[in-house]
Formats: sequence, structure tokens, C-alpha cells
Amino acid sequence: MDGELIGLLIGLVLTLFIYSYVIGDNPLYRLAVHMLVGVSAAYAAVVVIRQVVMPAVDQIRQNPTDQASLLWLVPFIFVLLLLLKRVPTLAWLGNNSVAFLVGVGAATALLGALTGTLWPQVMAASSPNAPQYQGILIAVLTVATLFVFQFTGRVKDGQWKRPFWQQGVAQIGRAALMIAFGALFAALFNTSLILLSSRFSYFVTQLQ
Amino acid sequence: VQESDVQGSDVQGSFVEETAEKEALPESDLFAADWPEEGGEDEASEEEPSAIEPETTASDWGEIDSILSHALQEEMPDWLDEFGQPMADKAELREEETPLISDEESLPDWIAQMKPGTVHTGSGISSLADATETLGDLSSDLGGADLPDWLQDADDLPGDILPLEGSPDLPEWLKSDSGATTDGDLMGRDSQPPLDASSEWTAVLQELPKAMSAKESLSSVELPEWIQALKPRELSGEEAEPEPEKPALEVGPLTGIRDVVDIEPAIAHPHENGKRRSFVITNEQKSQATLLKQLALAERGAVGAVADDIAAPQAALSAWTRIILVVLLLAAIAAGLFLPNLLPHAPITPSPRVEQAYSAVEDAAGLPVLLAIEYTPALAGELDILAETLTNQLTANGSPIITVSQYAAGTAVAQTLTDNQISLGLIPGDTIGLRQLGDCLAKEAADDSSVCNTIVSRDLDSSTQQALADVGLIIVLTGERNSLVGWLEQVGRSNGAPIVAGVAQSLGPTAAPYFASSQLQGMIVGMPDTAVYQQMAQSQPTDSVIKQLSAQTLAQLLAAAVLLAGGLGYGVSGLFKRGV
Repeated sequence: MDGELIGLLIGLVLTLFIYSYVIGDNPLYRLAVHMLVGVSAAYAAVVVIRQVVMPAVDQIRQNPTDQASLLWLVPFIFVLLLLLKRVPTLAWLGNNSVAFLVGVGAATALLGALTGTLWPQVMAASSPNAPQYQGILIAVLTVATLFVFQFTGRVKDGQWKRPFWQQGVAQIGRAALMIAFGALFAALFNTSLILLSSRFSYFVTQLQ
Repeated sequence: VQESDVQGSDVQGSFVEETAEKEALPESDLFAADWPEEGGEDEASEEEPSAIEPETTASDWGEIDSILSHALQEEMPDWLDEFGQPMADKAELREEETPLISDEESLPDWIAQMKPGTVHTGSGISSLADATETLGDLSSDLGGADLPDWLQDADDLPGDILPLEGSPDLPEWLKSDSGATTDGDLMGRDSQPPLDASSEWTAVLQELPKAMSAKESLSSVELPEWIQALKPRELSGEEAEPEPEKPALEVGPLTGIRDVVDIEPAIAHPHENGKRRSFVITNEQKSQATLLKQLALAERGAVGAVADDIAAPQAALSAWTRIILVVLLLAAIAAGLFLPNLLPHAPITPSPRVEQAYSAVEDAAGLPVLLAIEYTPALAGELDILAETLTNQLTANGSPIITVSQYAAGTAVAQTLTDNQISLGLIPGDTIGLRQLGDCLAKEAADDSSVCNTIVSRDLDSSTQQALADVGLIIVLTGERNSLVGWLEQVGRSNGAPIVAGVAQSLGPTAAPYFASSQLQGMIVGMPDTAVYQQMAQSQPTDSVIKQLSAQTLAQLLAAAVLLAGGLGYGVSGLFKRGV
């Protein structure tokens, strides 16, 4: 029995463990999920160390006095401070590292969202090349969807009620949400079917 | 009060002494600046003002005298009259004048009790020692004043008060003429007033009733025992029992501290609650509760009753339902994979998004293509076929392939695609890493290759730098929304290279707006578009793609049939339940 066959059998067993969730939550399913998460995390850690950390260490080792090597001290210090988050008494030292990460990440994401999604989508919807009804429909449905999440109103007879004009708009928005969620669910179902069929075909083909 | 009384008596005593001496003086000197004094020194000082005054005749003095006496008698109060009158007249006045305090009974008790020397013991407020010190300080101030009887009756004071007589600091004019012993004794125990105390003040004060001690003034009352128990130690004369010192704590947060209050046992030792009260339910209450329950059930209808009765069987039914559905689904998939193609197969007209994707790949022939493998082996069943198709086409076009991934497992997937590739490896940092890659691509496009020598932490060799500088197309293969949006937002606008996306079918609705806004040059969505792309690139799709499409189609048909059947059954059963 060669290694490929053993690996195939192990993969088949683990796949059946995952599919056992059809019956309900059970220890076999949990075992397979734990193994999946553990192996994925370990593999990611190894890749990060090999492709991100070790090159930096090699660079510092080769040219310790180089300016680029000295600049590496800054992220290493931040990393050490971040590791101190595990020590309750010294956890406050890692706040700067977390703040740097969150701040830079949020700023980058916000700038990208504004310039890469919001503005181009608005310009495309208002483009003269696009059909007029399409842009108007998109704008109306977008506003109506936003009104679904507007919860300002009055309490009348012990119940919270929206204003009369807002109720109709919220109904339209709710319908738009239902259509969107339905389309997303259908697409997800199709992907799941493809994945099931590919896995089924793989095992049958390999075991033959 | 005592001090003020003493000072008042001081003033009175001084008046007494002075009036006796003033009698010998002409009236003109009564209002002189200097009071009459004994001794040669004082006489010399008295003579000086008289020497300064202009000389007047005896007749003039007599006239002035009469005028003044008449004026004084008319306008001046009685107490001033006494100073210019002889002793005989004063004696008459004493008889005529009513005493200031005629009757002892009219004197309020609280005033009668306010006499020096009647310090109430046991008050704790002022001790005898303090009073003694206060009175001792006053002894020198009084200077032998002639004290009234009620000041002389205090027997409680200690006898260590220094007598004023013989005090070296006592001025002459404060000393009495008679040299009575009362001058030296402030409180004057058993001392008698001077024989020649002709002062009206002395007489008045002597007529005052004697002070009574606190014991005499207060009526005796038998105090109950619980009040007597509250008697201060100063009154009872008992010495406070020294409290035993508690040892210092040896454990706990208060180590080393004495006299720590012990924790109340009720707090330290949890106690068990006593038996709960047993409520008595009458038969009438039971019948009312039963009636209420029936009414509630009637309002809810049969739903509540059914839910309570079939909860366990319904759970078992749902599990069997799922198993049956899974079996049917697997049957449909197996039929599509292993049975002959039951569905009609005809060339499919490609959609615009697939056509544009194919055109973009063809236009990038010979140019390096950046291939982003942004999926894990979990989605390999749907995207691996598309990745293989694309890499085959790129290789056939002579386009160098530069692979990159933000997933650790994606780098492993990229390595399995083709051997002819330039691997940039893992790009960590999510949007930050993509932003760095985008800046690198933008600098390369600006022909500033000297700036982008490293990416993340890896040095780029010359071939890689050159390849990045010449990137003509970016292909993103992903099944996650965040990956696709990150590439479009962070990298898409950095350089002029078009972006083509190959996404899973679940990401199709999310990626469609980006294709509509021309941010995506082309888009391949799921297995159907992969089959169409293969038809364009290879004249026909592969057998595995066709079989998987067949399996997917049969499973979709089965799902549609189950949904339709379930909807119809639910609607019919609902109609029957409503009694239509």
C-alpha cells in the first residue's frame, strides 16, 4: 500500500466525517473540523516563517549595519511588544502595535473603498452609456434598502411604529433584500453542488 | 461667664475704690484724665494739671460748684449723683434705692446658678484644672478687687490660687484703702468685705442671694438603671478598663495590623436558607388555573398542543428528511457523472464577460501575466479546472506567469499548476500587502525599477523585477469577496494593466457590478463559464467539465423539484388546516 493510497483513504474518511453533519453534530464531525483548522494554521505558520520572517533574518545577518537591516528593527520591536499581549501585566505595551495595525489597515481599506468601489460604482450608475432605468432602479432600491435599517419612529399603543411614509419604502427595501439574498443563496448552492460532485468524482475515480 | 463676672466685679471694685477718693476732690477734677491715686507720685501728677490750669477765685469756684451740682442733680443719673455726695447722703440713697435684685425668687435659676465656683463636675467640658488656670490668670488682672459675696462663697476651688495681696505687679490704685484680706483673694474664701466698703456696688452685690451649688439647685431624681449605665466614666469615677490589645494579623492583606475588625460571621460563613414557605393552593385556585390553561390553549389553537405532543418525533422526522434528501442528491450527481449525458449538448454562445476575458488573455500574449491564486484547496474542485485552462492558454501564448497568493495554502495550489512560473510567494497583510504590491507595480510601470527591489521582505532578482515591470494582465482566481475587492481597490488602479477575474459561482452576483463599471476587463463565473471558456480556448470543453455540469444540472433539477413539492404540500396542508 503506497502513500498515495493511504492519503486517499485518509482523505475519504475525513470527507465522510464532514458529511456526517447531515445526521447532526457528532464527535466525528468535530474531529475532522479540528484537524482541518489545526493543519491549516500550522501550514500557514510554516509558510509565513519561511517566506516572510527568515528572509528578513537572513538580510540582517548578512548586512547588520545596512540601513535596510536597521529598519527591520522597527517591525521586530513591534512584534515583540505584540507578543507581550499574552502577559497580563505587560499587555499594555502591545497596545501601540495593535493601534498601528488597526489604524493603517482601516485607513488603507477606507481609502480603497472610497476610490475603488464607491466612486466608480456611482459614476458607472450615472454614466450616460448605462440604461436610464437601470440607474434609477439601482438608486431607488439602494435607498429603500437603507431605510430597512432605519429604526427611528414613535411608540404608539405600546408598540414601536415607523412613520407612515417610511413603512412603504421599508417594504420595498425588504423585498430587494429578499431577492438579493435569494440570488446569493442560489449561487452558493450551485457552488456547493459543484464541490460535492467534484469530490465524489475524485474519490470514485481514484479508487477505481 | 465667670470671667466676665469677674471683670465686671473688677470694674465695680474699681468704682468703689475710686468713689471714696473722689469725695476729697473738687468736682472739677472728677472728669480729669487721671483717676485719683494714693501716694506721693500720684499727688505730684495730680498737681500738675492743677498747676497748669488758670487761677480762679474762691467765689468763682463756689458759683461753679453750685451750678454743677444743680446740673448734675437734674440731668445726671442717680449712680453718678452718688459720687459727689457725702457718705451720709449715700447712706440715705442706699436706703432709698431699691436693690438691683430685690428678691431672690425673681432671679431666674439659670442666672443664680451662673456663679463662678459652681463648676459642674462630670460635664467633661471644662475641668477644674482649666477653671483653676483661668482663674489663676485672672488673679493678677483683678488686682485685689473687692468681690461680692457670691463670688466669695465658692468653696470648690482649690486653694492654690495665688493671693493677690502682696503681688508685686499689683498697682497701688487697685489696692484697697483698708488693706483688707479680700484684696488678695480672688474668690475670697471666708473673706469678709472691707469694713469701709461704702460702695453702693458692694451693698448691692451683698444683697444678691447666695449661689447654690448644682446639687442644691437641682431636684433629686432617681434615674433608671439604663440611664445610669450611660453615665460617663468621668462622673462615676470609674477608670476605663483597658481594652485587650488584639494581636496583629499574620495572614491576609492586613498582615501586621492590629485591632482589625473581625469579619461578621454572617458574611464569612454562608448560611443556608431556611425552609421555604409552603404555599397552600386551594381547590378553587386549582380549578381557576385549569380553566385559564384551557382558554390559552383554545386561543393558540391546535398548534401549541401539537407542538408539545410531537416535539420528539418531529426532530426524528427532520433528520430522516435530511438523509433522504442527501441520498437523492447523491443519486442525481452520480447519474450526471457516470451515466451517459442525458441533457442535450450544444455549443453555447459565450457571454460578453467571457468573451472579454478571453480577449484580454489573448491580447496579453508574450507579456508577463500576474496570476493571483486567491483560493484554498476547499474551492479547488471548482477553480482548479479554470486555473489549468488559463495557465495552458498563457503558456501557449508565451506569456510568463508570475504567481502570487495571500493564502498560505494558495501558494501550494499555485505550485501544482505549472512549473514554468515566477513565484512571488505569500503576500501577507491583507489590504496593506496588496497596497504595497500595487505601489510596486505602479513604480515599475513608471520605469522606476530601482525603487521596487523588495516586496514584503524578499529581494527581487533582476528577472522578476523586469517581469513585474512588463506585466500586461492581472488574473485573479478567487471564491472570496474580500480577496476580489481588495485586488480591485488596492491594485486595480495602480497601473494600467487590465484585471480579469475567475470566480466561483457563489461570487458571481458580487463581482457583476465591478464588471459593469469596467473595473474588471472580463469575468469567468463558475463551471458554466469555464465550460464556455474552454470551448473558446480549446474548441470544446473537457469531459470532466461536461460531466460536472451534467451532475450540477441534475442536482439543480432535483432541488427545484423538492422545493416545488414542498411548497405545494405546505400550501395544501395549510388550506386543510384552515378548514377551506
